[in-house]
Amino acid sequence: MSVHKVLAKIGLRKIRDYWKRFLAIIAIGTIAVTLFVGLMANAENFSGRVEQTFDNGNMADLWVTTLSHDKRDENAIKEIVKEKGEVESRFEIMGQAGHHSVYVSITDGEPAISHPFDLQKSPSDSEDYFVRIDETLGTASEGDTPANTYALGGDLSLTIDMSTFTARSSWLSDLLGLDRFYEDEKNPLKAKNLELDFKITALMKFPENIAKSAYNNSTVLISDKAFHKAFDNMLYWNMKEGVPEEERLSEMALIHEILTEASLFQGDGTLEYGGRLLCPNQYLIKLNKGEDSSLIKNDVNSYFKSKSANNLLSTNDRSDMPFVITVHNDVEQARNFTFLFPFVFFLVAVLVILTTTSQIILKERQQIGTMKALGLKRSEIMSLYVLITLAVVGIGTLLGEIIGPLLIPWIMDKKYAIIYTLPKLGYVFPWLFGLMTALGFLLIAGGVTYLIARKEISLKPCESMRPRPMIMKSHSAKIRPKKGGIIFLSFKMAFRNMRKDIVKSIMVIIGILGCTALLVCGFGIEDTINYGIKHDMDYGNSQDISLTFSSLKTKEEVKDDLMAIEGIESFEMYTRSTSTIDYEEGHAVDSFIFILGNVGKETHMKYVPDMPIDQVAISYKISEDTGAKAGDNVTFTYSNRTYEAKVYEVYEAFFYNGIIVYGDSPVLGDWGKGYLGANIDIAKGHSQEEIRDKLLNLPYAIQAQTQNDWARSISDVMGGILIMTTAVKVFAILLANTVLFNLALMNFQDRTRDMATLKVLGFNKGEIAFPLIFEMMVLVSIGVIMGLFAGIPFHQGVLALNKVELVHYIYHIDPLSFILSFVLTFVVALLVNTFYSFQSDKIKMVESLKSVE
Amino acid sequence: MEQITVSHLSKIYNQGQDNEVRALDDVSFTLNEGEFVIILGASGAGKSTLLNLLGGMDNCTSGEYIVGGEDIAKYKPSKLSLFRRRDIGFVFQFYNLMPNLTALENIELAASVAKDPFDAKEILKRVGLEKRANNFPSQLSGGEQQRVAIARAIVKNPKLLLCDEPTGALDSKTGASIIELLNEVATEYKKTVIIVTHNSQISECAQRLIRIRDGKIANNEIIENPLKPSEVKW
Repeated sequence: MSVHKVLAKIGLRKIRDYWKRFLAIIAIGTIAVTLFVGLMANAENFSGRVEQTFDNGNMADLWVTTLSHDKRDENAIKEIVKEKGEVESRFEIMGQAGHHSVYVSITDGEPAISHPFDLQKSPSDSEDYFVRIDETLGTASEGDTPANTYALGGDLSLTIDMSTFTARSSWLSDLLGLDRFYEDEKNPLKAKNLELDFKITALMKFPENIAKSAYNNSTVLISDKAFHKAFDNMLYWNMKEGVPEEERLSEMALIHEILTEASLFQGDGTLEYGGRLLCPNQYLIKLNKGEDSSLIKNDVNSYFKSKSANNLLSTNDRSDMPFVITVHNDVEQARNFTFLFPFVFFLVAVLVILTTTSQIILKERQQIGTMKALGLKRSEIMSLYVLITLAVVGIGTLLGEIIGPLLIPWIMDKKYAIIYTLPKLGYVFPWLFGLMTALGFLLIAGGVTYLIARKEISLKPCESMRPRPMIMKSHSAKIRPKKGGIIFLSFKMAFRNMRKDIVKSIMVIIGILGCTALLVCGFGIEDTINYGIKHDMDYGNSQDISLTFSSLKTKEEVKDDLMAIEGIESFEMYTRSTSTIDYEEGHAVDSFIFILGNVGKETHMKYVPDMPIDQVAISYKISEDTGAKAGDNVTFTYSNRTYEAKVYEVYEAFFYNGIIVYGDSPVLGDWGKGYLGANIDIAKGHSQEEIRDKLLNLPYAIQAQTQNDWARSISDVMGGILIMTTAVKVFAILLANTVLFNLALMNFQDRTRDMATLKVLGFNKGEIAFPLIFEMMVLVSIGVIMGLFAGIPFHQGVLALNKVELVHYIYHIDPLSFILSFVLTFVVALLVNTFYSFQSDKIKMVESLKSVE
Repeated sequence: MEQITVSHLSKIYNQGQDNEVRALDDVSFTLNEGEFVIILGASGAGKSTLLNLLGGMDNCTSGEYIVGGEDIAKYKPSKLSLFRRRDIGFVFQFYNLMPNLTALENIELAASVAKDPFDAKEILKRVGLEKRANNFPSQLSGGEQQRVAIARAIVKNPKLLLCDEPTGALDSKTGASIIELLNEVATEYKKTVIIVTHNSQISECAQRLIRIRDGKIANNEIIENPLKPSEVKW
């Protein structure tokens, strides 16, 4: 039999002999690699599914939206795009479907860009006649009250704000002249909102609806023919009561004639580009692969700027679209999470492998000497130990590489599936990352084994076959050991063991430190998010219900409606809108403006109760991004106007980042005081849910959020990071337990002979266990204490790497999290060590003591 | 005075199986207080098994083992532990000192659990190592380590001192000195000493010599005029 075969046999038998320790290495390796590769697989998987959703619907690369229709625009855009892609147009408008805000997208037939897919059609759905809603429209997020449910073939009532129709007066005047219609608000065309009824022809998936309707304004896709029919019906059924059917029909014919003459609608319902009603107001550009959307965007913007009457509202590429920002934010978080956090796992795993391997090799000292004495080459002996480590670490790595990409994306998908409509979860293996992880892990493990084994293998056979000398300084003659009982001697034994194996002791400390820090960090992230939500609920969201209007309202306009609802005690007008805040040129940031109807302590936003009426407050996030501080002058935009004001204070907020200004502030000048919402306080004896439902019945109410609704929606936004944190916490607990079991096992096995000696001397279980437990717990205590401290900067580092656009983390770790981290390491360590240390029953005194020391 | 009675003691491994081994087969003998006993036998004869049973480190399959009127063979593990703690002093071939305790501390450790121990320093002095009190085992020679082991066994003031090949890892000169020391402390402290060995030269010092062969007692004789260890040709 060749040397290599013999060595292979020895190797396999050593794995069998040390199976418990090797099992621990395999478990630690599996946990670390599972998390490391699994999170990366999740990021790639999630990102891939998002892109696939966009590809399935051939989603546009650019959205050009205009304020009014100009027939020349489409040709100009086509001229800019030329061969670089395709251009398509549609009419898009905000609307309401029940309590859901929706984008109503009206197209001339089947769209080719940003088109629906996975359609569930009814027979009435065709290429030129369709009313398609997102398959998730009407389904509510967990705990939310479902306002409407929609089904294929069912009814869909849409409310469209008429104020968004351009130049309606010119054609409405013709219609209003018809005496079959009411002349007041009963006339549907004179009402503020256009109410249209449809039959749903298909449920669809739509690329722009990647976030489910409970989390995003979903798009309803309607063909212009279907829209026209609904419009006709609306007119038909809203004629004065008592008008006979023949007259209604003749009236409708007349209306069609008027509309046709006015070039608004044609008889067959197709869009007439020369008209002013439903002419396209949005151009979708789909570019060929490799084309730079920013160049096209610049050219489009230049075109509109060159026009004498610039009718451009916005040119957005994908990165500007809210639904893309949200999903990409989660993708980015998923990617960022792969680093730092699992990296620490990785380091802890390597450290434990190093400790375990070194202990095994030190135990092999005599065998190494024997093999050398038998004439085996150093390289052969080295290869034996390196290959054993590689085999064991390899198994752990392989298991991690298999389990990670299966388990982690599956866990994460539980959250993603709540928020997003994504293709079925597939198996994605991050090849490059996976291979690099495996190689890195194996190289480190092999390298560590080589370094440890080298020292032992380089000894002469006679040196190896002698016990390793214990290097300890003897006491000076004057120092006599104090008299003491077993406890005192046990302390001595424990401390000397720590000193003797100082490297092992340090590794144990670092291992425990890492596990504790991971736990503190994991718990801390959740604490920070919960603390942020609570902080904003206390200071930024102290009202019972927040009501959002469909259009600007003054206090006087809503006062009677609101106070007429029984249970409403008081209200404050407010506006939350986008704003560009700038401090010195070049530091502008896009954020939010909060215009408060009340002043000082009367306002529901209590971040800066003492703020003078003529000053503003900015959040820390804005201060960080712009560099502006208290006392500086900043500029901010609102409703196409720019204002300037002095910063009174920089306030700390989690979610409500932006600039706070009073509605009555002279800074805003004469701005009309039209607000977008009201903060409502309810009287005692009324539930928030009851008042919310009443508020939603107001014709101009878009959304009414109770405090719970708000906290839930923020939790949903933060759901991605929270579920990752949970996964990491679970893995940190697993790792900590495995590490602790491994260390306890190692300690137990290393001390077998000492325990057997004590047993022979007649020590009882407790007396035998005490020094072992004491030794381990001293090291664990040091590790835990250091870990609790190290967890704080680690937690901040992880959050700093996982910045979310919308929020500013107010770092906070609850005392309970420190206690939990302590319990999960210190107490578990104590239990595990106690368990092992009391296993002295299983030590066979005779066998343990017969062997050569 | 009769101190130890062993009657029909047997230890069978893998009983009832194909590979059944009768390590000790129906062994009976009695020992008197203060006797210096050598159990002699070849490797595999069963002498260590007998020592383990006498030391309460293992349970017998059948038979009786009476010490001070108590049948140790019927003891449960917890009582056996107490028996080892109070009545037994062990000396091993490979010393088995606690590596992280000094010579004196090793002795103090044993004393700390004994019921009525001797003074550790005095015992250390008795074994001639008072100057090495603060040295760790790794700083002592084999002979010195074995002396510490003997001191550790004696300090407990046990009824029985059991030595398993105490000279097995030592050169002949050092081995002789260890036997001499054991002989002296047995006489001085009036302890019954049982030495298990395959070294027939040691048997010349025995007051009682028990020969074991194939798990059975081949011979149990009282030596009227044993040699002093210094008189033995090693």
